[in-house]
Amino acid sequence: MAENTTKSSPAMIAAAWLLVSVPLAWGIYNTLLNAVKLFQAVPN
Amino acid sequence: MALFSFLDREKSVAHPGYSRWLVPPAALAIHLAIGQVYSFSVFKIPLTEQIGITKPAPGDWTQPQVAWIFSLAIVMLGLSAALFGKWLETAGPRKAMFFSAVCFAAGFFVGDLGIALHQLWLLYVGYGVIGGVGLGLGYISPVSTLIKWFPDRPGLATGMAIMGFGGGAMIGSPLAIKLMAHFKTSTDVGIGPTFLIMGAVYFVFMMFGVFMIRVPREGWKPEGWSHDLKPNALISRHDVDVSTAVRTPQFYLLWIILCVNVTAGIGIIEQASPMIQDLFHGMITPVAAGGFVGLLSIFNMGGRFFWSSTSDYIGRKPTYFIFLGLGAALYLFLPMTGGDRMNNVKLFATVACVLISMYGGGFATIPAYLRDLFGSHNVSAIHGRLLTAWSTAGVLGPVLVNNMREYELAHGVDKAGAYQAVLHIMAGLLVVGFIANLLVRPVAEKYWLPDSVARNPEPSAH
Repeated sequence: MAENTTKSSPAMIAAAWLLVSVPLAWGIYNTLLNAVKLFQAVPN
Repeated sequence: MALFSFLDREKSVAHPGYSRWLVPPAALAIHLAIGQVYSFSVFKIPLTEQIGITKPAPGDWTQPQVAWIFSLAIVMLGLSAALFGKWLETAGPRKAMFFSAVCFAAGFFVGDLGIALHQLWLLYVGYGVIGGVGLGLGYISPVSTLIKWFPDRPGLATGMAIMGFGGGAMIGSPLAIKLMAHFKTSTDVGIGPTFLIMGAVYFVFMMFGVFMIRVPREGWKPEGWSHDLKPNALISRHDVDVSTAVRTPQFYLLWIILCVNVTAGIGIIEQASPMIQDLFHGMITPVAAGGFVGLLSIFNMGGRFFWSSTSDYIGRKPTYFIFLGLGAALYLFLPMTGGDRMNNVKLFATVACVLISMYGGGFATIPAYLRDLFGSHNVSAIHGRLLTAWSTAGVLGPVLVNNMREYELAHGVDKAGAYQAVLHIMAGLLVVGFIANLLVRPVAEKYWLPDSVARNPEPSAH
């Protein structure tokens, strides 16, 4: 049986990263919304 | 069983041309999911108001009873990582990640049953024990695979995955809050269906990692990777078996380093919200303190990636000297920023964020430090055993902080002063870690596996 030597496509790599980045970005966004409250409360 | 043969290690060997950049997303899928455990506190109040709905009623579980679910999960994380690390080395990452997904999801499902039947022990067994095994398997499963794919940048590779564990809470917390709000009715707090959906969603998400993970072929090395890098005595080209590694002084020195670094970090994380409110009395509201906790979680996650990547350039030992030396100095300095002295909230928050970044960095850099000292052959198994330091610190940190603070308060010290004593003890612990790091030397030849140099490619600069 011939060995598969196909190179991974850049689109597939981008899709894989997107799949994990989107929920992480959503989580960071929500956390930042919360973190902003600290600086809104700080006078100095 | 033929149905599950795709989980076998030999079925997950990458074909020529498979990009190593597909491996970190697979690892992240696991770590982002299991990192949810650090957002378990969002379930605490709903779990104690299942009967009363708006407030605890007779027959409702108490907060201390519910807190055991999380504690069990963390203890099981450490135990299962230590127990199954050796099995993982032979079974391969795909099988370990699959069982991690099954256990983690089953933890939610059994927990849901416990909620439906109002049987707390089912939550202990489900989310605590079964889910905890999923945490341990998932935490260590991608580590050695990533190190083998990125022999040139092991810190970067493991930092990407372990960053996911820090980021998991940032996803798990708002996800749970939104789901519970969606399912909440006048007769139900909405936690049951939330558990079911989270179990299913996390299982699917983790299965993406299971299908994507690949181990490199025997003898594979990165394309164009230069061999003419400067040698470093602390980077071994020899492998050490896990059962031998745990008999070396280096293992125990790293155990101490991880334990004190985690204990010190927990000293801030555990008390973050009340600490900033007490140190800046009247200036910081509970809402703003919640924002401070969110800020710390971002730096906890970012520090994992930043510091472990940096360690590829400056070396593992110097990186830990920064964590432990700078960390000790900053722990001594932190109380000075308080309301009764410099009264500078931004400076306090900045110092705390740097400290928490180094707490996260300590977690993320340790697998690469282990690889440097013991080789990549059994690094997951050794990492699993080392995580008992985390379990120990998970108990030691809060006990130390709470007891020390109570002692100070009982002896007439004000709230701000009590924090100073706690933070100074944390500085002292980091000095102990600094000395342990100073004592780390290359692993002696008598511990090496025979012919292990033949298996290993040339190491990177650091």
